[in-house]
Amino acid sequence: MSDADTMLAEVLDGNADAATRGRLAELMRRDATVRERFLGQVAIAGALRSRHQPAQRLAALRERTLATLVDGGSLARTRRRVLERLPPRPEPRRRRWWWWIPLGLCIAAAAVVLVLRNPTSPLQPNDTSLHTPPWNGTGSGLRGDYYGDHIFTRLAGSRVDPQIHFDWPGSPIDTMPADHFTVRWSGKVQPRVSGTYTFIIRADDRVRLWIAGRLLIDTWDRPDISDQYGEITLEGRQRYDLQIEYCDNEHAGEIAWWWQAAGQAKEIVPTSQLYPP
Amino acid sequence: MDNLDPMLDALVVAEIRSGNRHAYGMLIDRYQMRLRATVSAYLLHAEEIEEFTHEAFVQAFVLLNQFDHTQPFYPWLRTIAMNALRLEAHTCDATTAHAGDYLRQVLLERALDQTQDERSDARVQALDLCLRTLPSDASELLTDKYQSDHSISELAARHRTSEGELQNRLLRLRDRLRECIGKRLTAELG
Repeated sequence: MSDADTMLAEVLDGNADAATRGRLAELMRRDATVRERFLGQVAIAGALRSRHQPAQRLAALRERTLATLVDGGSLARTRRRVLERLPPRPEPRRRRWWWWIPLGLCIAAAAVVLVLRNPTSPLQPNDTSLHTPPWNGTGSGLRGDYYGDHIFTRLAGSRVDPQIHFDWPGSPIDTMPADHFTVRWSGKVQPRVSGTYTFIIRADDRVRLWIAGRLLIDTWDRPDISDQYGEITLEGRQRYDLQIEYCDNEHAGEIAWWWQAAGQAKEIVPTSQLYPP
Repeated sequence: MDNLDPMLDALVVAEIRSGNRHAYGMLIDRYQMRLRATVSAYLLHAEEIEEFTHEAFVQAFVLLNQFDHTQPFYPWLRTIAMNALRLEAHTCDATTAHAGDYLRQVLLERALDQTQDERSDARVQALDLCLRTLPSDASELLTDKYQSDHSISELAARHRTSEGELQNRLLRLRDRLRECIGKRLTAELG
């Protein structure tokens, strides 16, 4: 047996160590004949294995699949569990944010009184800046780069999206397929006020969210269509780098992106707070 | 591949759609081996083949309302499995993958070739015919190897030979079957 044959046999018979797999990989990279032989051998071994499956193993897969289908859960949840191969995730803990409302109102009222009593304060009664909401930005949205593959290589088009709230029954843009596409949104997000923000994304199928360089949400390896939560503390009116990557596998594509903070109800992140790069 | 009446599939699907989920077991029984054979041409590990087969059946069930019952069930099921394999193939790049990943990726990339899924069925059909041409001791060895999950050392002891010799024999047997299948497929196409 040649060296290549020995390695091939060990890999196919399931007793090759990492070094052997590495040497075979190297050989396959260099020699197309070895590569072809490997492909052929795997196909035959696979067909043989399938043909010789014992009846109890076939029955076990049938029972396991049926049990997945009839466990009383919704189909969508079943699919997620199968894909994750994990037990269902607990619901996120609800924050008792409403405790902060009376306390916040007291602090705000005291602050206003103190500022207005100070004669050197720029915020005297004739100054109207206090009454104009300074926290609304002037943004126009995020840049969306749309790719016709799963690995962000075949750029099909770019545009500015005012919000991330889509439910595509087909293709998002004409020049790309209805399935198996990716989108990368980039730009900046500007919080209205300082505080801890919870960002929420619901996406079918995979999504990643970075804010200020921090990966807050990541379902890339384990697609999950339930709401995903990520928290970060941000300064009001400061603009932070933002990137969202989304991958649609099959069927309709869907993604929605919300935020919420103390005193700020959950809402789709508004256009005014989003800026293209 | 098989002579099952496609009308029967349509009846089973109608039964499932009417709420009898257990009827899906009939479709699993009917197509499981065939789907395993297709999937296993693109994956190296038995556990992964098991998972992909299972997931394809679950996904097919979830999408059953989209199935056109005037068409045969298996090609639709196979498309679901092949799409899952293609998605897997897209997740990493063989040119940068290392060792074990590289072997896996080389196999998965073949799923991107659309003509492969048609061939996988023909390959399995040809395999059945080729297996009949093997001598009985060779058939026994293959059955032992692929049915029982014995390790190479256990098999070597059982067949009173060395591990190296046994691995060599299995390799040659697979080569022989590969050659036989190739000839049959070429003859069919010719």
